[in-house]
Amino acid sequence: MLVSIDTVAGGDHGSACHAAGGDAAWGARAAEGGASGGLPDPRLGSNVVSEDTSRAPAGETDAQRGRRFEEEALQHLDQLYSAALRMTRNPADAEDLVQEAFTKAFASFHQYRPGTNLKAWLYRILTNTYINTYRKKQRQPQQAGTPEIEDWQLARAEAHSSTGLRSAETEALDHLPDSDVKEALQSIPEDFRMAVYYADVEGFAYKEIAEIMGTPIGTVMSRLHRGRRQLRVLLEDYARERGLTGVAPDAGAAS
Amino acid sequence: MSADGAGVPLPEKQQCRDVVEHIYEYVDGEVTPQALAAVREHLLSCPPCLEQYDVQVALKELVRRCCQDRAPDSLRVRILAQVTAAQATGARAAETRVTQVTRVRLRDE
Ligand SMILES: [Zn+2]
Repeated sequence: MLVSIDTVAGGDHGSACHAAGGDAAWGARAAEGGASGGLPDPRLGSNVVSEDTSRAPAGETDAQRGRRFEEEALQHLDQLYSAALRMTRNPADAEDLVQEAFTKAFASFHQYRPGTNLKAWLYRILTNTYINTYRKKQRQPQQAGTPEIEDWQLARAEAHSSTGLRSAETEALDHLPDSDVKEALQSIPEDFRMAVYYADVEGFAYKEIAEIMGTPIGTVMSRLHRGRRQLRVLLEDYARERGLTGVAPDAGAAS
Repeated sequence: MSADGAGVPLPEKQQCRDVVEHIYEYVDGEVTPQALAAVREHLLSCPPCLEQYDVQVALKELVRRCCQDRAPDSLRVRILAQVTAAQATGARAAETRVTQVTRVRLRDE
């Protein structure tokens, strides 16, 4: 029975479903997303349907929950969109991802315990949605990480920094355009990138990042460590290309 | 700071090595207030470590400043519409779904 719902909805993308309106459209839209993307989330169809039937926390009407969702969850839209941009690396996929994540979040909003960390909860859903669907169908092929940044390069960067050019480096970093920083972030491996994003942009504690990413804290720390080192090397290169540092790295290290 | 043969200066003191090793935890505020106080004391008396710390703080601030995008209004509208549609049917969802789907299926046929 339930399977046939998805089959019908998936078969005819939407016009009939939209006309039917309401909750059928909700479920159908989700199924449609999976079908048109060519990668149905194995949990999505059954999840959305079963959530709908069991969503009824004591003392709250659906209208009240809807309002609460708008007030509390939707205020994090910009942040989730920023994170989605870092994950997908293109605006179209980021929008789709965020919409799907909010759809799932609303469907299971009754499971969210008020007073706990709503933003982290939303990020967890975003991350799961991304892993389950988007990572597999990236429009831009995932780069094979950074061209492996060699240890000697990192050592050089650090040595360079302790020769008195450090404050020049800090100065140069401050003058880098946003686009350089975004580009540098995009070019480091995804797990490093997201750990850095959560720590720096969102200011999440390591423990929260571990929950969002589903990894031990030690892994979070190692991702942060490696991600920031790679980021720093890349940004130093950008700063040099833009003439912001003025002095070639080897000149500084040699003196 | 002395340099080795390859021109790479290495931290002389164990204390410096400890600071550098845990620098991200300090920058991210993941240490106890006591540990942080100890590090601050070291930083004030050790320019190389202080600069290392400053760069990390600058880097963190840079990422924060550069990666705050605004969601398109159209996306907000779409999500709101979905929420509104879902809450409008609300508790009736389970029963209405069956009739609606039947209706959809009839249209398809
Ligand atoms: Zn030191």
